[in-house]
Amino acid sequence: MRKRSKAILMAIVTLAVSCSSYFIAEYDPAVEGGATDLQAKVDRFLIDLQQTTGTPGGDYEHHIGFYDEVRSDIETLRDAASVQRGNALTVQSLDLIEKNVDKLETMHAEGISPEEIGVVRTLFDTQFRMLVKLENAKKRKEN
Amino acid sequence: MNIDVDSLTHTMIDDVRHTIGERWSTIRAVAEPELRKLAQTIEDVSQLHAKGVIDANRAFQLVEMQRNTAMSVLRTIEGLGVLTAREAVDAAAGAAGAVVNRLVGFRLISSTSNSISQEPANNPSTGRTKDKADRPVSPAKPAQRPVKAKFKAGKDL
Repeated sequence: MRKRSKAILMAIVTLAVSCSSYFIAEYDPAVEGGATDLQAKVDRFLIDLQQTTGTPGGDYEHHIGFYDEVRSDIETLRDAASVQRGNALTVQSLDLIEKNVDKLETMHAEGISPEEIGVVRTLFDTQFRMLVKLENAKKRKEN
Repeated sequence: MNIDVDSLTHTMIDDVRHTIGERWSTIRAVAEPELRKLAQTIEDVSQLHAKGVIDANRAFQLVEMQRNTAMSVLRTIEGLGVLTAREAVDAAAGAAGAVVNRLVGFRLISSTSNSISQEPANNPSTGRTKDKADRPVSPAKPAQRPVKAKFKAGKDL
């Protein structure tokens, strides 16, 4: 009887852990693929901007559409991630990327140097790599 | 029913170690270089400010971006940690499940990642289980042999 109680207790603990924050969403190829595409898009933009900043071609006014497009892409990814329960970390990562897009836009509008773009590129690269790594980890778990 | 607790404990620990071993090294491999790289970007911003390339306001903006990036790194580390913990729980539950199920007399812990099954395994019409592995143990008729913890995680006895 005592062992039976222990077994039930052990099962309850396992159940509590299973239903707690240890739950994480399943891998979604749409999120991973979208994040990879967006990473490439942002990086291409920054490489281009690094070469054209300080010239009329690098002016913020010529690139307003890019920022709107990126925000729209992030929104699409966030919607896809929000469909599943347990995807809060992915959604938060997307929010953090969007915050940095907003800050880049502000700096671009004020004027930005190639050296600053170099730093910004490193930061975006890290953010996107981290997001993709998290999604890949979910995939590995399923495999 | 006798349980070899030491043996069961070792089985569970071995399964957990085997499961999270690679993931733990992955977490370390991710966290250390990424956080070091972010520390380097703070130094880069400081240098740009010292050289007069950027003013204090711009340095502040870049550090804010760096802070958001650091939080992104932490989100991923947290996620990898959750996945690791989850795998550890699954491995331990899988290793212990067969023993616990036999003790309680029904399939309380399943061997899949959804560790707990609240459905009794009994066939409602006959009171018998479909699967021999899930057969309930009658308290009046104890098992003949002690349970050995020599089984593979994810499989019933």
